[in-house]
Amino acid sequence: MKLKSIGRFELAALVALSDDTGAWMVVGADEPRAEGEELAREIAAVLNTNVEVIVIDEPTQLGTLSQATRDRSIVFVAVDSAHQLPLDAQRSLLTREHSATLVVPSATLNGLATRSPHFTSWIGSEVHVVAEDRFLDQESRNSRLAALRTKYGMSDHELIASTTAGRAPEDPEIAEWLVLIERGDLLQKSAR
Amino acid sequence: MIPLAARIAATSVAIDARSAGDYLQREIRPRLLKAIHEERLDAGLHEISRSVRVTRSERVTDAFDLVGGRRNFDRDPALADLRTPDGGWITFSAVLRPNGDTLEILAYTFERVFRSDAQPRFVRFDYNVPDHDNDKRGLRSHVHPGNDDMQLPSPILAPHELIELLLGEMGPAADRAPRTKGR
Amino acid sequence: MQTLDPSGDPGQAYMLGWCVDRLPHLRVVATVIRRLELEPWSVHLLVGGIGSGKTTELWGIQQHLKTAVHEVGAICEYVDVGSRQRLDHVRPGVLVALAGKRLAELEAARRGARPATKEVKDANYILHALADGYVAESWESQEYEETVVPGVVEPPVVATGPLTELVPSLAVLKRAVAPGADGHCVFLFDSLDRMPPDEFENAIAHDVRALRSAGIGAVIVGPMRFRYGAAHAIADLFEQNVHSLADVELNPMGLTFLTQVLRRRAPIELLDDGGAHAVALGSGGVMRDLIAIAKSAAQEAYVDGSDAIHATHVARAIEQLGRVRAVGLDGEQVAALRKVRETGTMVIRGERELVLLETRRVLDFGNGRFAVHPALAPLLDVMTAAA
Repeated sequence: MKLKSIGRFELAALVALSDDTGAWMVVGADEPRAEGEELAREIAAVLNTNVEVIVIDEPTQLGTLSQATRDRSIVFVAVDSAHQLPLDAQRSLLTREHSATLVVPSATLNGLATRSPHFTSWIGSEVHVVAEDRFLDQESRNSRLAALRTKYGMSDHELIASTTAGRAPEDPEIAEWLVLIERGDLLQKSAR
Repeated sequence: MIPLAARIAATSVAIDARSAGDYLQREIRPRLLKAIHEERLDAGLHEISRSVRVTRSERVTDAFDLVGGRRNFDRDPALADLRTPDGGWITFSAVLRPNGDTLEILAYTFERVFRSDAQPRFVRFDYNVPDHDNDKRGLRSHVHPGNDDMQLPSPILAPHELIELLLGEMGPAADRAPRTKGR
Repeated sequence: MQTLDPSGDPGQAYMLGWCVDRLPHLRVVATVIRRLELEPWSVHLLVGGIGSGKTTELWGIQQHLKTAVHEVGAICEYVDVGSRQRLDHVRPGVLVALAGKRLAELEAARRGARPATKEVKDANYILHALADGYVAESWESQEYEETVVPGVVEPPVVATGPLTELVPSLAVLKRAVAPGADGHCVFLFDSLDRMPPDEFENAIAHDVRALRSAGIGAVIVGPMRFRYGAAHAIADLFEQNVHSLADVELNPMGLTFLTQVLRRRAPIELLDDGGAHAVALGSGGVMRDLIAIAKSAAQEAYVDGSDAIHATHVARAIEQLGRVRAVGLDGEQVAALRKVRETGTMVIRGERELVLLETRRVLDFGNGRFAVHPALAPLLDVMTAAA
C-alpha cells in the first residue's frame, strides 16, 4: 500500500497552515538529506522566515533536539537510524510551539505505525511522500504546444524556420513556444 | 532605437534569483498563496501546485518558461485555472534567462480577464521578443486595455510585480465612488 | 486549525470545554471515583486503545475528586510520567519518586513561612535522593570515598529493590499535606501505556505497593494488552481494579456523541452535519482519529480552495488515514484483517493479534465484537498478499 504523493509546495503550505499548533509531519524520501534541504527552502518561502535543517545523528537525542528548537519551524532529517527513533518513548518531549517536519528514508515508513503506534496516532494523518511539483510535466507541455500550433496555424518546424528568417510573429507566446520545444537559443538576440 | 524605446528598455529589471525554479518558489507561489489567504484569488493550493510551474530544458538551453494556467486564447471561462472572486481569472507566461546570480526577462504575457459584462473585459501586458516592428515603434513592452488591437507603451515589469498588480485592487480607492464621466 | 489538532493537549481541551461527557455505560470515571471515595488508598490500572481518550478521563477524575471531596487538603494530582522520564528506561521507584517530589512541593506550599518539622525534612531528603540521586559517602579502609548515586528519575538509572524503606517518608509528607486517617491523596500517572509491556510490571510493582502502604491512592495508565488476560501478577497487584476504556461504538447513540465532540471544535459553516457524520463513521469511534480525520478534511478543503468541508474532502481524509495505517502490513496481517472483517470477531492467540489491536488496525468493542478500523477496511481489497 502506497501513500499518495503530495506536491512539495502543497506540503509546505500545509506545514504553514498548522505551524502555530506545533504539528509534526513525517515525510518519506529516497534521499532524506536532499529532500530535507528542499523542504526547508520551500517552507521558508511560504512562512517567510528562516527554516533550519537538523540532521539527527543520535536517535535518542530526538526529544532533546525538539525541546531546544520548539519555538520555531524546523526540518529534522533522520538517515540510517531512523527506525531507532524513540518516537513513542519520547513522545511527551515532542510537544512544540512551531511545526516540525521529520524526513526519513521511504523504507522506514513501512514500520512507522507498527513500531511507533502512539506517535503515529498522535500525528493523525500527517505522513506523506513528496512529489516534485515545480516543473511542467509532459502532458501540460503538450497541451500548451497544441494550443499554440492551433492559434498560429504553424508546425514547430515552420516556427523555427520563420524565427530564423526573422519572420515570426511579434507575440510573446512565440518566445514561450520556442522554449517549450527547447529552441530557446533562438532568443539569443535580446540586446536592448 | 527611438528615444521612447530606449527609455522603456531602461525600466527592465534583473530579477534576484538563480533559476526560474528558485524564482517560482520564493517570489511567485508565495504571492499567489497570500492572494488566496486574502481572498483575491479563488484557486486552491492544489491549483497553484498544478498549473503554476516552470519548464526545464533537457538540453542546455539558455531560457526557462514560467507559466500560470492553461492557454486560453478564446477567453473561455471553462478553461480558466487561476480564478478570481469577481468571476474573472489570470493567465501568464514569462520567458526568463539565468545570467549569473540574476534572471533576465526576455518576454512575457500577463492577462487579467474580468467578468463577461465588465468594462474593459480584460487587460494584458505583453513584452515581445526583440527586433520586431513593435520594438521599432517603442512598443516592445505594451499593454492592451481590453482590446487586442490597441497597444499602449508600458514599462517592463517583473512577473512577481505583474502578479501583485493584476491580483491587486485596480478599481477606485476605497473611499472614492467609481467615476461615470462622459457616459 | 487550533481546534482540530489530534496532538493537542487534552488538559487544555478539557479546560476549554471541548470535551463531551461520555455515554453513561462507558464512564470509567464514575467507577474509579466511587472506589477511591470508599478506599482512598486503592490503586487502579486504566487500559484502553491509543487515542481512546484515557488522558481526558484522567482529567475528568481529577476534576471530580477536587470538587466532590470537600475535606480539607484533599489531593488529586495528575503526573505525566512520559514528560519527566524516558519510557524505555522506567525502573522501580519512579512513581514513588515523582509522587514524593510532588508531595514535598505541596507540603512546602501548605506550610508557607513556617519551618518544617525534622520529620518532614528527613522525608524530603530521602525522597529527593531517590529521585535525583545523591552522593554516597563511605569510609573504606580509612579512605574517604564519594560515589555519585544517580537518581531513578533521570537516566542512567539505578535498579533499586523493594521500596519499603521509603514508605515512612511518603507517609510523613502525605500526613502533612492531607491530614486525617483517610485523607484523600491520589496521584494519576499518565503515559505508561507507551512503555514496553514486558517491562511494566517490573517497573511499577514495588511502587504500587509502597504507595498503597503509605495510604496514597493512584490511577495508572498501563499498556493496552493487559486488557486481554492481564497476567495474574498484575491483577493481584491492582486487586482487580483494572478498568478498560473502550472505543465508542458506531450506533446512533455513539454517532451522536462523536458528532457532538466534533461540533465543539468545528462550526457548522465549516463542517455540516452530513460531513460530521461521515467523519464519525470513518473514525471507528477512536476519539483521536475523529479529530485527525476532521483536521485532514479541513486541509483537503484548503488545498481545494473551498471554504467549507465537503463530502469529497472527508472521503479523501479517511482514505489518507487508512493508507497511513496500511503502510507496511505484511501478507499475514492482511489475511488476519480480512478474517476479522468477514467474521466480526478475533481470537487473541498471541503477539500478532495484540499488535493489530495495539496499532489500532483492529478495534475492540467488547463482548467479543471486533472490527477492522473503517478507514483501513476498504483498502484490504486492493492490497495483495505481497503488500
